[in-house]
Amino acid sequence: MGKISEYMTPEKLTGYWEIILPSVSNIAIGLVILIIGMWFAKRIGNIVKKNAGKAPNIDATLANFLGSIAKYALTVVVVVAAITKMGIEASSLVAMLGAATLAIGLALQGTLGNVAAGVMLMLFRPYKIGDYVAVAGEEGVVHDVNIFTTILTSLDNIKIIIANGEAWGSTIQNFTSMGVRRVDVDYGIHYDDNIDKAIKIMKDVSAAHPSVLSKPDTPWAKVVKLNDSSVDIQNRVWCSADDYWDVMFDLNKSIKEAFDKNGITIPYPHQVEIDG
Amino acid sequence: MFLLALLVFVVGSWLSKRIGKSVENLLNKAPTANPTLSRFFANIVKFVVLFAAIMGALAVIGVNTSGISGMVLGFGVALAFILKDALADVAAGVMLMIFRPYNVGDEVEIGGIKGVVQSIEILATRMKTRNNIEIIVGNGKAWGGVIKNHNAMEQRRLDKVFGISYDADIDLAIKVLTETAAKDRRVYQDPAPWAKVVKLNDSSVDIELRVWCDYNDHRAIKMDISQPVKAAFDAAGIGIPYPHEVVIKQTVKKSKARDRIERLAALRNA
Repeated sequence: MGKISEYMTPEKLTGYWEIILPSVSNIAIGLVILIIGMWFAKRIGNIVKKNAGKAPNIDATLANFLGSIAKYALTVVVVVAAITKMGIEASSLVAMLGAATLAIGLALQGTLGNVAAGVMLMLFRPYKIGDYVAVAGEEGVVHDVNIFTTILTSLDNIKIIIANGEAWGSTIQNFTSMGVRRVDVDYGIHYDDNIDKAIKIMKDVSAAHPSVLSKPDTPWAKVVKLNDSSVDIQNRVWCSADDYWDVMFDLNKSIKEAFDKNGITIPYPHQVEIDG
Repeated sequence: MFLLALLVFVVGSWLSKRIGKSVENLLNKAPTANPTLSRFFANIVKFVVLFAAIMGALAVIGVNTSGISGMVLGFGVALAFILKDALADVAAGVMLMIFRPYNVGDEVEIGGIKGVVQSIEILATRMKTRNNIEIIVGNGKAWGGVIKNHNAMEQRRLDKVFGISYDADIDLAIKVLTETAAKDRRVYQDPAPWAKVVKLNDSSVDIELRVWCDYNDHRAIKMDISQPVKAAFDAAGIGIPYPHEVVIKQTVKKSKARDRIERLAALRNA
């Protein structure tokens, strides 16, 4: 070790400066890139969020989500650019980032699929909150639709959480969206009974129910099957989708009672025993 | 140079430990924190920082790191593919932690199997059936499929079908059913017990009773309701029918079966 003054001669100092200056300025430029870039990413994210929010089909959750995706993607680019400018060899970093992205991508494959399906559900709206639907084999009232899942509540109030991928990828039955539904129920009468009379009773009782509509069709009843022990007559009435179950159950009771009053029998299963 | 490299490595490894610790603490502060999961992620962060420190130290010595980074990339890709399913389970576990479609102690149905949740781990959810069978379901299956949570809504409807005789008075039966149900203190008065004819069945008129109650009472009421309903039906003279069958007896003059018996008897006697 020599004296410090030996290292401090003007020539040497200039020499140091020439080495240090580029790296200092590079670090400074890198920092500037980082700061401006971060600010820029945030702004862009907000702009995406705001513009997406204006579209009619995109709700607040989805807009937020799209905004943050834009923000983070830009942030990664900015960080890599800044690090490169600072003079750090970024290729190993980028390689690591690449491998990590692949791993995360594979891990989130299913979840991202759900997100994509969630976006589809929000754009095309096969069901909305409050609809009675059958999705992925489960029936219930739509409670919530978010980015990842569709949440139903069954009629006996079980919370059913269905991944959007599953919902969008399977058959969706919407019992509410058409407004009116047809109630089809078979009633079996005795083979010895008068069919015309039974049909008239069924039509009259159906028409008398306050919730039964005369459009798109008035009550309809015809023999659909000559069954083992009964002549099966199908009753078809139209009603509002909300009244479906009430109409079905009320007609069960009033048709049975009207049959009793008018001597039409609903038979038990019959069996012929041959002595031989 | 070597000294500097050593310095970079030592500082880097110290930093990796510190960062790992602080990540763990930070994650543990989250409202839906899980200690195992926090440790897991802290470890990942720690090793990434450590790796960066090693690469830095090697770069200082003058080793060309681009070859190594290529190797790392390849290795990472291979590992990612090998661990694809496990990674998906981990990701689903994170989602389950964040969104909590169920908590420990909930009664849930995942992939059609019902049980009470015992624990939610990084890779799998453990459940127990009421008759004590342990069920382990991969998180990916839970998060990617259908989850039914029986107690999340807290209030539940109980449905039970009672078959009455075709000769019974339906109005009376409905009145008896709803009144009997309303007598149970655990059953809500609002919405009030409901009963309607859901089916004209082979031998019975099927009336469904629907009552609302707390989830906690649901199973108990389900088991307790039948006995008082039977007593009330008996008192009101409403029959609960056996399966019915109308048998029509027919006698025929000629019968193949009878002919055969006669033929066999004739053969035996001959």
